[in-house]
Amino acid sequence: MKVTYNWLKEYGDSRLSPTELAEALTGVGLVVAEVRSLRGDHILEIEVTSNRPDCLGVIGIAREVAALTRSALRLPAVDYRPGKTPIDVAVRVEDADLCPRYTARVIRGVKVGPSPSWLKERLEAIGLRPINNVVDITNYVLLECSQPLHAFDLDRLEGKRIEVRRALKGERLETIDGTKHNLNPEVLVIADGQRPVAIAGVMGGRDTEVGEDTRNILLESAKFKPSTVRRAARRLAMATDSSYRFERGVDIEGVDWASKRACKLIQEIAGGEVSNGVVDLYPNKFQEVTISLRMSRLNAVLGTRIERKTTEDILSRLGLRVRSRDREELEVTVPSFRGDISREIDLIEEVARVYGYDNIPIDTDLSIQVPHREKSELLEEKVRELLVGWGFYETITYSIVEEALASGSGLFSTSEPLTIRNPIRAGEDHLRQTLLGNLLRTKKYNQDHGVPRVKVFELSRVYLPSDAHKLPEERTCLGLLWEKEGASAEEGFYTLKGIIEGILFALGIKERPRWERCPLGFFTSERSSRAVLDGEVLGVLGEVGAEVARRYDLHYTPCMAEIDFDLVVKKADLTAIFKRPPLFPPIVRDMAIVVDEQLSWEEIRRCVEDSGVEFLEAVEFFDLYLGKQIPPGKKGVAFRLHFRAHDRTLRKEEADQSQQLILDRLTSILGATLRQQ
Amino acid sequence: MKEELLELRQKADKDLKELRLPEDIERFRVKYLGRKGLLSEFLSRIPSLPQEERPVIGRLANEIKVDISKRFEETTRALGEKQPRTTIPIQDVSLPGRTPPIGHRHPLIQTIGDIKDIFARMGFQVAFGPEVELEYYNFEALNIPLDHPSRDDFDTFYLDDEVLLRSQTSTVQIRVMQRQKPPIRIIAPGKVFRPDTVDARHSFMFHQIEGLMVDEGVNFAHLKGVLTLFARAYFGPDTRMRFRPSFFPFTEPSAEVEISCTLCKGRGCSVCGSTGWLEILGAGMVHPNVFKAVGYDAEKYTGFAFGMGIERIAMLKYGIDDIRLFFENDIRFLSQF
Ligand SMILES: [Zn+2]
Repeated sequence: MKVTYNWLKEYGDSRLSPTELAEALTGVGLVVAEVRSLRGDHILEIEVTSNRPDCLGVIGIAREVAALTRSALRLPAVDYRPGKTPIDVAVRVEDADLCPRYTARVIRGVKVGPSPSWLKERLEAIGLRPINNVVDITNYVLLECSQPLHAFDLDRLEGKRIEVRRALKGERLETIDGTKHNLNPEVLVIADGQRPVAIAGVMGGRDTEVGEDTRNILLESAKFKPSTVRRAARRLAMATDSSYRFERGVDIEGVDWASKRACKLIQEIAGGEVSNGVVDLYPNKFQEVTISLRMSRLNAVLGTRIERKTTEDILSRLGLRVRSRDREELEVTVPSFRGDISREIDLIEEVARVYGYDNIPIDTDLSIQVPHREKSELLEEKVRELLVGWGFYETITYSIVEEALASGSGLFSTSEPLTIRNPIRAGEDHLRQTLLGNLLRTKKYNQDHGVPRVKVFELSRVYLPSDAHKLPEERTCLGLLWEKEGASAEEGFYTLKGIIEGILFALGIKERPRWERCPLGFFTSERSSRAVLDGEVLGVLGEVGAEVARRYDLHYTPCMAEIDFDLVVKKADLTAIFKRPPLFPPIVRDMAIVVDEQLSWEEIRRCVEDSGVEFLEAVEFFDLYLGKQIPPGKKGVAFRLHFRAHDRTLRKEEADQSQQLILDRLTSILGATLRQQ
Repeated sequence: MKEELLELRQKADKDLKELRLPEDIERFRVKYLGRKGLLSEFLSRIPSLPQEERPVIGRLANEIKVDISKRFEETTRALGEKQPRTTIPIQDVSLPGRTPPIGHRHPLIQTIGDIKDIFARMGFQVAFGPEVELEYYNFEALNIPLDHPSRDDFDTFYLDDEVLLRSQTSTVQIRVMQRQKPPIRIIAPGKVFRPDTVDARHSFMFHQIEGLMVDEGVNFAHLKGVLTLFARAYFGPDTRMRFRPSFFPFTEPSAEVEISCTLCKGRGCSVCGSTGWLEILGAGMVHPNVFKAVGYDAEKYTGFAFGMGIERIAMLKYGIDDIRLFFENDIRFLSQF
């Protein structure tokens, strides 16, 4: 809301300079964002919060200034001279709930023309385009007292009638701005005897607007129900100075004052005769609200020791009527223009803001509380530490993505991604179900900006639709993308796998995930795998397929992984219980066997571990050969066996025996043979 | 010759057993296996031996050399796991070191972490809530009725009539108060969404931290206290703070909170628009209607809430001038934090 310094001064005696004024207003919550000088005046740009519609007019702001500076408020004159002709228009309000007050006055014989220069300059100063004297006056009064007015060309109103009613289905109206609207019963209109002539509280119709040849005027000043105006303005995609004020609520008691003020100005500037009388439909008169304010409550909420006298003084300066019941309680009566004050806390706020927030003490005397850290939070921190230590950069990407990026692996959900009804960019309206798409986008961005290879991760939520709940499941996932110059896909695969296993290990997860082949979305079927932890899908890992790489115009095919971090949190166990390290040395044996090519290390390991042979402590893979020495269809696998006795030093013969048992088992179950050196 | 060789092997055996330090190893290698070592010298003498002795001695000498080499390797391998392998001096100490690659945390995560830490020290517990939220939590419960102009300040992405992407982390206040009785001290970081066109200062997704403290006897002076302690801890001990009246539907009285400009220390610069002050957060006393929505007795309990934009704080802290940088994830950007 813009006001000019000189204009503001017309209504009071404050001696503040423009900058002082700006500071004082900002101090009580009317933030002056800018002070600009213009042709001997100053424009103040004031941010008026939505609870203070009274300050959407210069007088409202002048009232605050008067309260702050303990000076008087001077209201302009409204004493127009009524003529002899009685007012001869009929007004009907269909639903007083939607239009609690409607006034109409008639001015006959006006001379429509350009406004005088003072009026034009004032409107221009705050960014309004002058139109003609009558329209300019209605705008001027709106800016003055925040009551929107509308002037109709009376001779164009069919039957000299006004009806305030819901639009009928199929009715149409072209508004002053030239837009044609299809109306419906949700929209409240002003109609004449035949058709809608204005959208109530939003904008008038083109056909009845005041122009050069207008002679007679019907001047409307009314109060419409805020939510009705708001809904109409939204539905018709129109936001006007008028709808802005009606939405926030105009002063019902000020409706007639504004009408008279405009008549006075029209008479002065455009001439004409104001018909005698007014149509004022105002069935439910305003009832003043009286609120009690407890001094103890005021000081308890604010942490202050404000005196009753100070409180009384502040509230009365703001135009509220205060009566002391006793030392503790005040009875405060609120005038109609302060519709935002309806309960004790509103009064406390009024006192606080005028008393000055800076005068409220700073109290740091808090009781001691020791918050605990959520397990998920601790684990997230730990994983970040690990990954950063391993050279990964953390990323944060948008949760709203285009369709192609939303459900890359289909790993965690087979439902369609959720979509936004009102996206800001067409196509970017899907809630992601995976982090992988965004990792590719990050990769591409860096590739285009001179960083050919990246190691990045994101620890963030994905959104999985739920059949049982209105809200989706928000699952925290860990997405990883790994690249290294000269690295093979195999290196990438095993590195990321090792990173995932390292994370599980570091978070105290004893179970080992089962890795199985499972071609998914972004990945090649030959170089990808799905991990299952204790029967639940943990995640996916693999090399990006060539097709995907082409689609994203990637120069390389990185390896990526995504794991369900909520599952990790569920399984993680950071409790540590000391176990004495073994006292006796192990015997370590290497074993190299030849087996069928299809046989997985997992199967070999399980065969060894499940053998139950005595003294076996661990089995550790160390090599895989596929070479000339190995017969076709076979492969060589080498691993290390650790044997140990816990109560004595293990004898060589005992290890020999266990080793032989293992070999026998591998031979009989998996058909393995010992590899000849 | 043969005796000499066998004696050499014995001596070598003995020396091998005594190998401990890298210097010993190198000395051994030079002495026995080097180009001018004992074994090489021996082998070089073979051609001068009588014709008939040559094959026997030659074979033996080779066997011994292979044997010693093998056992030397075994010994050094065993030792090498404990000790450096060579005594060759570091040739050029000014050559660059080899740092293992280090990654970086995202600056927003770091900022959230720093802020959380400060509030944790004041007894605030971290809380979370859903990002896809019911309209009730984003609006009604926070005293923002339908068709009310205060909704203008919270443009919102909708999935359907009831479900939306939260446009503020204040939703977490309601969720926490619904499941927990006072005393409450929480801090709730997270993503929020608003359909703003993306430019240097706006993003349709950004992060906020919400704070809430509710108990008997909590007042505005405590709000000032907690936020002042925070500002001094985060922005530096000389930071000044000012509160000015504002409006939020879910707090009353409400305040806009500013700190003295971190760049110009209050003298005025382009960052603070030459005012010397920077707006960093919104705060206020929890509105009685909010307490009513969660079934708290507003006469018994009072509380304050505050919320701040993480991107804004990070931009001030690090001097970042474009919010889009946070979500582009350019490695050259990320590596600076
Ligand atoms: Zn500055």
